[in-house]
Amino acid sequence: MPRKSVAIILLLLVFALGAWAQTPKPKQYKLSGTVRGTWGERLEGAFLVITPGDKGVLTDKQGRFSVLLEKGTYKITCQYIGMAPLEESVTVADDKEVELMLTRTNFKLKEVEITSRPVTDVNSTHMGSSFIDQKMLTRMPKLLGEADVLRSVSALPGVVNAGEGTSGFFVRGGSADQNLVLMDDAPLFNANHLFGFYSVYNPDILKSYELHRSGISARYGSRISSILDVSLRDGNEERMKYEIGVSPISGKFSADGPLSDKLTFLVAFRGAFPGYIMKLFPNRNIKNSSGHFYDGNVKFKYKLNPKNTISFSGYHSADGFKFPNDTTYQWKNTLGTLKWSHLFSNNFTGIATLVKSHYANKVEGIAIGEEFALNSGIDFTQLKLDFGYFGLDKHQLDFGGDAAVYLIDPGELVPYGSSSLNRRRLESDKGYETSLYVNDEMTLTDRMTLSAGLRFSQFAKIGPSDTYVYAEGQPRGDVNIIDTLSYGAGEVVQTYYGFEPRFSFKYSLTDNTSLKAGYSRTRQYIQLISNTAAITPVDVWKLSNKHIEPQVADQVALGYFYTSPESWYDFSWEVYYKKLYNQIDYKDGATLLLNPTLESDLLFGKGNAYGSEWMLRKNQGRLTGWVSLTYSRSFRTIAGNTAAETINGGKAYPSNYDKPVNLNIFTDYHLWPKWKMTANFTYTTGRPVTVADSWYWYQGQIFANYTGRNQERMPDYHRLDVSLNREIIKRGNVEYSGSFSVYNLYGRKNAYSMLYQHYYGEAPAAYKLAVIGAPIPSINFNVKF
Amino acid sequence: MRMLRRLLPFVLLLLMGCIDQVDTDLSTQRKHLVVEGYFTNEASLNYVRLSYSQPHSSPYNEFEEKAVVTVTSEEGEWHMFLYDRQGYYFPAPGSQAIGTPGRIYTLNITVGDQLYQSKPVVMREPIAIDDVQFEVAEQTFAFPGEREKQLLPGYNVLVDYTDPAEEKNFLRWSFHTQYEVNTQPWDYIHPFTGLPAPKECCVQCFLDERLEQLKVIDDRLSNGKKVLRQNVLFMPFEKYLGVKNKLTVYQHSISEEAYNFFRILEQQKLATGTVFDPPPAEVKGNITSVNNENEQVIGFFDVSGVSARQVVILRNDIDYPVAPFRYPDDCRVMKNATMAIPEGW
Repeated sequence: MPRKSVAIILLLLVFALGAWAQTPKPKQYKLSGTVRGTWGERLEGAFLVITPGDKGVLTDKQGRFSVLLEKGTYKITCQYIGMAPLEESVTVADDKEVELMLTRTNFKLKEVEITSRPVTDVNSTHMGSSFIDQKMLTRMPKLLGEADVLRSVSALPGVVNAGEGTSGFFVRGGSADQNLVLMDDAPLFNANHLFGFYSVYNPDILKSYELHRSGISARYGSRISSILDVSLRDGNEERMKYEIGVSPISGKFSADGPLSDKLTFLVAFRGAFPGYIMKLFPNRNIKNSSGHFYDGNVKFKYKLNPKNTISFSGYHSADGFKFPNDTTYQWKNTLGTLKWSHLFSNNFTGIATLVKSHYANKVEGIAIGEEFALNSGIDFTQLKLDFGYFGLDKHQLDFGGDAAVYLIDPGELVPYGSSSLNRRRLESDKGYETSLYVNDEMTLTDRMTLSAGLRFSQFAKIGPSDTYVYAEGQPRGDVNIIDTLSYGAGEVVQTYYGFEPRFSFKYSLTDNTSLKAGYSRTRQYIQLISNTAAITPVDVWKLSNKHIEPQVADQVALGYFYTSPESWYDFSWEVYYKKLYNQIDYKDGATLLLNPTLESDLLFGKGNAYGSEWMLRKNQGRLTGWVSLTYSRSFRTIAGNTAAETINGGKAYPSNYDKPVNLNIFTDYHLWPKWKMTANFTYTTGRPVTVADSWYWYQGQIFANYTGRNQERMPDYHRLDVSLNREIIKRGNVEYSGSFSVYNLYGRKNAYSMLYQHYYGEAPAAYKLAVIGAPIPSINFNVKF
Repeated sequence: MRMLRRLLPFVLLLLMGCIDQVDTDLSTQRKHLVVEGYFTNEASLNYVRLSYSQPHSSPYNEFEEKAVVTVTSEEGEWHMFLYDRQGYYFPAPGSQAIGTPGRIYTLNITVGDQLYQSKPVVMREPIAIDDVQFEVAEQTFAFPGEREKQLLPGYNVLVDYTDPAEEKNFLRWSFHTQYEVNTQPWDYIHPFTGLPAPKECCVQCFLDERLEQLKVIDDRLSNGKKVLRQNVLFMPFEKYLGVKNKLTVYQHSISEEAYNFFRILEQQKLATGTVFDPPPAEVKGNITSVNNENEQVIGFFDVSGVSARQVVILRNDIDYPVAPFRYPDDCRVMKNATMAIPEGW
């Protein structure tokens, strides 16, 4: 069916359902309000149940909710992760505004702890999303003394990671660049620190994160596989607080508090300097290598008046590492988010956000005769407007739009010294992305809720640009260029646009069980050009152009959700099917760096992925945790016009992200009054690899004869991590906490990659390389005052 | 603090990766003809080697000894190559198998009733070597027969040349070395008894070796420039530079297809399994089976215009302290060793 007709039918459906839901009612009054935490921060996603009537409502991004009620007295029960549940009685005789303040759960041995949002999972239309807060994260086992957001993401259902020492992750059969990785609304283009052992998120100032894998709200766009929405906490409104943390190779400091009644701030610094340890090594290569990073966050929040709040979140990081006498790599991330939240009325909120993300990368060659500096980077600017309207009974309306400018500098090679290289600069890659969205969450009946959304996105690739025209029927390559189309600065080279319908539907079977279904179409106009296993500092980001069409994904998902009475257990089961269009793979021996005819080294095709994800969680008691099991497959089909542009004869082959079985077990056991023990076990099928069908001699050396792609698999991956966490000790105003972790407890030598090697006297054979081949203990210590 | 200094390297050492053998499915293993063909304007560099690729369960070499090998040109040249040993075919004695830049050559191989043919390849004009220099360096290196590479001091061989601006150029290098070794036959230990069994002869020998370093470059980033100190070879002091070495550097001006072929081989050799490795790639050669186009033939007929430069290195000229070459045996047992002093030594 043509795309336009589908969109029209969907729109009609949205309005029809809306009209059906709006049958005349007796006189109703509006109860609205804000839910705040201990420090005055607005809580998004707090769940309120209003009885009698058992109306459930979730707070929006601003912590606001609104519900229409008949005259009477009601009991509001409000729940939020890590907070003690609050009950409050309200009498409604007119439109009424309430302020609900939640307090943190006090620590007791037999505490009732909510480790996730079990209630909301069953009652909301949300599916395929996982929520982790800071408290949960810091209890997970650490590597090199630090809990890490990106590492913890790969313990979630449907997520596998790219390998040890990399922070890339793959969601439901998609590649690493198909995940929108956010920090306070700003996108990151390289979220790595120190070879991926750390990521850009400082766990001390993390508020929470949510990973959306399906049922992605129309509010989000730009990437087709997932959205990792990470929020950092604001400065507290009570008093100045400080926190210091140390581990053997890193140090952290943060401070936050009120500057006035209206203004709070937070600053945090972190740095890791493993260089001094590397110097102690006898091995020359390690001794002369070095690596470091530091980063800092700053946040301000200014409450202008009850209706207006302005906040700023800024981040800067610098990374470097060097191999002896060879090459140095440096990269910097600078992010800024300026947000103005405005309350138009009790049922109408708005947020204007200005986002800036700047990523700069420098590779420097220091070998004599080949000295060079290669500078590249991305500059991203975005303005977003998001509105929430709760004025219609049984409707929660979100709408808004955004406009973004991408400016990619693919690199300038600057030779110096005795270098024989030529100066070379590739033209910059510029594009505008704009989008509009509307999403309506409709309570159709007591049991049925439908969230219907539509997003329209448009992308324009902007000149200056020289676009090559290749001879038809010939493999793309510089020998087959028949013409060059030149576009001047500001000229539109190519435009792409399309609708992105999103639906999720919930039907409550009982108070504790529900069935959900979702459909989403997502579009992506920027891609990471990398044929290595992980996101590395030498990868190239590229915007869609005449030859590189936008990536599109269609996903349908079905789910069953259950929460036991009092939320002791919850269980979910989701199945999904995904179709991916305009997927990129690479020609054999592709040249990606500083290549003006990059498209001639790329191959384009389709993908499909399907899977089933089960998750069982225990939320209360001495032992809490979860077991998640995923069975999924992911394939690509690259059938080009010529044999050189076809992979595996045009047949579907397992993608690099195809790891069928993925089992994660996380347990958190209350050992003694002040001690907790957590353990994390991961098992995944090995990733597909290209293998050789024979070996041969050439030029006096032995080679493997690779044919085709991804016919076999690496050995399976499994690992157990444990952590012993000392809970907070209070001495006056000072709080101490610490943990001891062992990563890879039983020392499994998990294969990171496979290669063929020949040792004299033996047949050439396949070998696996393990990045981490032994248990890694680490310790960390935090002081708060 | 001393404790910490001891503990921390240990902790980090645990992070260090390790390499272990894994099993792969051997049922899908195949045998293919492997053709290594070189044709240049320098007679001594022209040869064809025919072998068969082997399954990973077999450690043995298999050579094709009964093929009929010819190189023909569009200008009517016809050069016969005859079998020598170990899969090598050399131009027939007395034949003038020397290529001319600008001409187009084809390799023809007949094995039984199967005919294999290369695509026609143009011999490109050679690019002169302006200078050959050396610098002391340390690199990991394994002599034939050694299981593990070891870090050795030696010379990096660096060439200077001027890249022609008017066309795309692709280069690779090959080497011929003649060198003198002094061994210690009096320290010979009998391999079975383990007892000293001094030999009386011989100390001084001369060896001849062809050295290859898989390295190709294009002029994508250096077109039209004078290229200085292009590193093309590493020669450890041990063995090669114990007394005297006469090194000939051949600079091959190769085709773009040959460049792509050798580059993928080079990538495979450089792969260490880190995040920076490109994935393994299929090496596409320029030789096909005329009777069966689905048959995969591995290898390339590389036709190149060659320029050469010879340099002599004396041990005494090297400003680096190196222990003398240790070889406690008769020098004549070394591969290709002779006691005859080469002409002009």
